[in-house]
Amino acid sequence: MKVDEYVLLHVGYALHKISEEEAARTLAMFDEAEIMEDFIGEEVVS
Amino acid sequence: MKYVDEFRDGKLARKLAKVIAREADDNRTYNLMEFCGGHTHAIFRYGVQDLMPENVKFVHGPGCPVCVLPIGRIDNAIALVEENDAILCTYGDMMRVPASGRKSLLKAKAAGADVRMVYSTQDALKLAREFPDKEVIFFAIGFETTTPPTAVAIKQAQAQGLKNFTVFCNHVLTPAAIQHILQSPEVREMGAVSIDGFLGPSHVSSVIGTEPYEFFAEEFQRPVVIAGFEPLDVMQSALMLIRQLNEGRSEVENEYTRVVTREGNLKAQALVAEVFELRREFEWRGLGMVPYSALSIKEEFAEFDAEVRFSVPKIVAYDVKGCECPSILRGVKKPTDCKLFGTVCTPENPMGSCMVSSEGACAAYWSYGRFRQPDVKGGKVIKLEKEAA
Repeated sequence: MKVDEYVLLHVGYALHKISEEEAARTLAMFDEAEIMEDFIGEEVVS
Repeated sequence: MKYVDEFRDGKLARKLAKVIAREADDNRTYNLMEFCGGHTHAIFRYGVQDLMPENVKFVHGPGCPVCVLPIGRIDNAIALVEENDAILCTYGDMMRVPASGRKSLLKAKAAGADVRMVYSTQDALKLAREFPDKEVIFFAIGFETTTPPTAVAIKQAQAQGLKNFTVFCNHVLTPAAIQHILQSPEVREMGAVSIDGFLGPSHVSSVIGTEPYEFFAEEFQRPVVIAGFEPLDVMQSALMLIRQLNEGRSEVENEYTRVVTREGNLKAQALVAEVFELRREFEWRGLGMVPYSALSIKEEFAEFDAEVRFSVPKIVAYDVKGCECPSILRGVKKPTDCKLFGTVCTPENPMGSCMVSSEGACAAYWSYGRFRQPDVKGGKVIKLEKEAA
């Protein structure tokens, strides 16, 4: 562990390191919803 | 806060809701059980259910550590502290859970017993060092998240040669409980409760990984998506479950990849395996006796086992009359189906365990008031029709 890294804390113990890379990937997955929603918004059916 | 705020974005939530509404098939329902109380809490706090189409329903599971402990074990804890002139430490929620005869650890404390709330097993160890002439008992509860910290405490107590520290172990296992629910007649005979898929635990899975869920996803043909605890995590996971169900898949998928891996925290698992072993069976509130669903302390650490050092008789105890906690924990009933809910049972004066912890379904219903209709009859609390159905 290094300073500026994040962990999941539970009852005073670090259970797991939080992966910055994976967090970004999940947020990107939400963005897909945004793209899809724009798509739906145009009423285009694939 | 980083890793929190961005997963609570309201604008994105509305967009996700549209995608879910689009992809959910109108001709079927999706009953998704969130196992964890943490998810139940998030669903109510952020109104996630209200963002779902009518046919996507969350069924609240038994994953609230305080809720599932049977009353007899709380009676045991009260007897342990009162009969042995000991210091009993436990996590805060546990203090208020009603035991037999309208007692609780908090009431025992008020009557003079030395019951202390701790935030960590380290606090309990500290008390044992501070009071060498007193027996210090840690009332250990919880799922796979709180088990490794208890194992650490036992190992430290051994290393430090503490002779006055014991653990009253009540640790339980998530996969065993999910399997038990799937095998229950209520689910199998398609009667009282229907579960199409599971939102898998967040923090528990950070320890055990995703692998333990693979068996029953396959065996019971129910998809599982390991979901983070933030509202967008819950919504994205619901969408992933809907897609699996639409495509007829029953796989284990992981939405919470920023913390959960397939293998989990191997170091924590090794610690748990070193200190604990499986109990043949253990009683859960609501689920009854569940085989191989809990842990006890191994013989080599017996000197730290409160059940070995003190007398801990098996107590059969019953819930307060009218309390629907057992059915609510199985997902068969909703808090609003309980006659006690919001009348005699509130978080200030809980009758059952589900109203005590913020992770309990009743407390979640009550605290965020989502069962209320806006001021229709002079502010009187009335049930929504769809809730009562």
